[in-house]
Amino acid sequence: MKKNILELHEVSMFYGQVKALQNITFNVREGEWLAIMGSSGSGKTTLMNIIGCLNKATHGAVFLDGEKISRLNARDLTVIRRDKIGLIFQQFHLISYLTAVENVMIAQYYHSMADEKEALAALERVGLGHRGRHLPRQLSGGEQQRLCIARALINHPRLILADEPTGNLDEANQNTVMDIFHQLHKQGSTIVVVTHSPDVAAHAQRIVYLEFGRMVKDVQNAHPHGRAGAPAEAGR
Amino acid sequence: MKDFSWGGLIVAVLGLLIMASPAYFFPVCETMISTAAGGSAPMKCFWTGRAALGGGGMIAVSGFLLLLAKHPGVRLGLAFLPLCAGLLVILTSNLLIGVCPGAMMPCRMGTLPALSFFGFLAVLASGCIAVSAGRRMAALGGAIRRAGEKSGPYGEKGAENGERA
Amino acid sequence: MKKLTSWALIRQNLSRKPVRTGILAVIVFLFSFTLYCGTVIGQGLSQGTRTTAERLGADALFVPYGYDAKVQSSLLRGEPSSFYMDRRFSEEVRQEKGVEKVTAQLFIATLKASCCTLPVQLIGIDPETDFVVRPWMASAIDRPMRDDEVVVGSKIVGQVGDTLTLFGKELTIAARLEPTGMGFDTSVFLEIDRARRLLLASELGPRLNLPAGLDRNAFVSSTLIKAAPATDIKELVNRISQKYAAAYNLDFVVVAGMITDMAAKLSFFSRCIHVFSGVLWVLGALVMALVFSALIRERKKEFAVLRIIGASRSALGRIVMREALLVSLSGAFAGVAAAMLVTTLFNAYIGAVLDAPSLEPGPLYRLAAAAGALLLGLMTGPLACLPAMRKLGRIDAYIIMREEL
Repeated sequence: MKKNILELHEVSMFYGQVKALQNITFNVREGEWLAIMGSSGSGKTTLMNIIGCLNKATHGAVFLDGEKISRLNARDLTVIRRDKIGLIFQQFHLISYLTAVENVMIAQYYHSMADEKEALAALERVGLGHRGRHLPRQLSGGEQQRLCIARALINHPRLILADEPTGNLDEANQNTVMDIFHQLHKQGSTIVVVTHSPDVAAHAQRIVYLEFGRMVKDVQNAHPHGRAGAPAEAGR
Repeated sequence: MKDFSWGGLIVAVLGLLIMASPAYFFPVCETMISTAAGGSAPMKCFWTGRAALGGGGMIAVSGFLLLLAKHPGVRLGLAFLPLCAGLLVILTSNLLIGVCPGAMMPCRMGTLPALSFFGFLAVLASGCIAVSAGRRMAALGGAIRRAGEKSGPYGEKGAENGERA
Repeated sequence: MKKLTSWALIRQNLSRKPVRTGILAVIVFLFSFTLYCGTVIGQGLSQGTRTTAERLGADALFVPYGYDAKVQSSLLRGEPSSFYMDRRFSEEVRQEKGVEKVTAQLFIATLKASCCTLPVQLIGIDPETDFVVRPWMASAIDRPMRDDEVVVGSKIVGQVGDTLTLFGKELTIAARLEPTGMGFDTSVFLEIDRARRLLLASELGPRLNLPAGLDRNAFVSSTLIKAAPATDIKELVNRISQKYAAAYNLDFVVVAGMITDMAAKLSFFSRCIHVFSGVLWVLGALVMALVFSALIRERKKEFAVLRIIGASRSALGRIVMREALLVSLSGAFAGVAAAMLVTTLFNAYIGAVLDAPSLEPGPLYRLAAAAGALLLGLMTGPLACLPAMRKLGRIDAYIIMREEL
């Protein structure tokens, strides 16, 4: 049995009287692909912020790669986030005045050292090798999301955390992105995808359902959307 | 900053300043010298003032043309006009014609430094325009070359590959 | 390989907003420019004043009644003027108690000299009694001046050995003087009797309008007095003018008072400049603080993204700080460079406009002033962005995220 990358014990989040999350407990094993599903207001964004070291839970314990992160201060959380987590967003969150390759390199820069060759290779992996010199606004939505993925992967994170990664994409681009996720999964990456879309969740091995801040279901997906047979030869 | 288009305005204003300096802002000496023949002739600085009128006019006109020109190649070529004219203004007032020798004469105290200063600024501004236009020319050349290699300005084929997979 | 560093980010960002960057740089430019110009011009004026006091060496000047202002402008700025009084006064005043040295000078305004088309101040000096011009002429010429020789101020055109035509007579330049920053720079000096003869023989001679009772062969323009040590100059001057005023129709200028007046004018000028630079600096810093605060608000999202991908708060602080520094640097550098150019080129013009003796300060002083103006200008941006920096602390990644999700 593989070790746990992520462990949540009785995690709760209260905003004053509002209980955004209550007693969430689950583990994610190394190499696992987990989807966290729920409608808006179910608390999944709050959960994602806690896992992504963007916020701290008010109660409970969170372990990431064996380290208890639930009591760390903001500065240490920044370090953990930088070193262990690759974040992918619905809105891409790219820096508008930097080219594609620079957007990847900036993540390298804050992690360790910018290396253009490596950054270009990362773009190549998501099929953007020829787009390195373009600005985000010159890229399509699907390309921007793939750029965001390349940036998330560049520092070899222990955990890939994606928030509605296909929320702003049409179906064709959605497929491309999910293909990349399948490829990453096959290479052994641990993936947590937060989504409201059953289609996206269906790709995962395991799905955790949230409702009104509580975990209502934790199920193994016996038949993940098998696209593994057609991995993205993205953009070659 | 990319195409420095307002640089033309600066050059044009400098040209006008150079034209106006010897006549209004820093007038040249008014007195005439009497010649051996008994007549009278204007002094050196008068002719420097005339030369500045011409040089400044050339700078002003090329500044206005730079305001209109869009293509970096045209801008690059045009920028050399005020650059050389600015040098000419500096050279005529300092060397080629010069001004009166007296340290306290208005042309030496006012006109000469004014022409040198504005001329220097005109050279500087047109130099900046030339450099930025030159860079854009190089960028344009690179883009055209890349487009030739990829058979499309942005190599759209690659993106389609990714989406089809 | 292209390097990507914080500096690259900063450069990209600054050149992306050329107007904003330009305005900020212009603010710093104006400040550094004013500071440098004010300091250097102020120093030039005070240096000019000091040399005036040193070179003059006299404690008081006596001139014909009503010409006290004329002699001042003649001494300080070399404005040509002519006025006449009786030479005997200088003989008589020599006997007064407390008077150590007395000499007379003759001022003649030429209408035109061959060297220049502007009128020149001609000063006749008495070689036997002179203590005002001689001491610093000696450094330029170490023998008695011949009858056909003149000594010229530093701003008169012509080399030693060249001839000057004055009132139709050719005179040889025997020496040139060091720049003094005052009227002597544009004056031509010659022996007093020779000067008087030249004047009388010239076309001006017949039209010379001498006051009644003045001997055509014994008139001078001013009498300069040096008091004996430990003498109350005011008292001495009062005593002399009371005793001789009626006989010679006198007016006087106390040199110390003249210099004090000018020093007061100067200190007012430099105070004005410094107050103006200070106001400019405060206003500029305020505008910059506002711009930086708006800039951080505007770039909240960008900073949040940087936070998310692992930039620490201090890394964001460094970005803002360095942007401010780069803007200040370019503004301050251009400002000081332009100011140096302007003050050097227009030095003579500035002196003429300000109507005061002015000497350009030495290179060391100018360098120090440049360094000071550069440093103060450089500090503007980083100081101005300090208040805005607190906003950065409030940019927490998750808050931005929550706003958007």
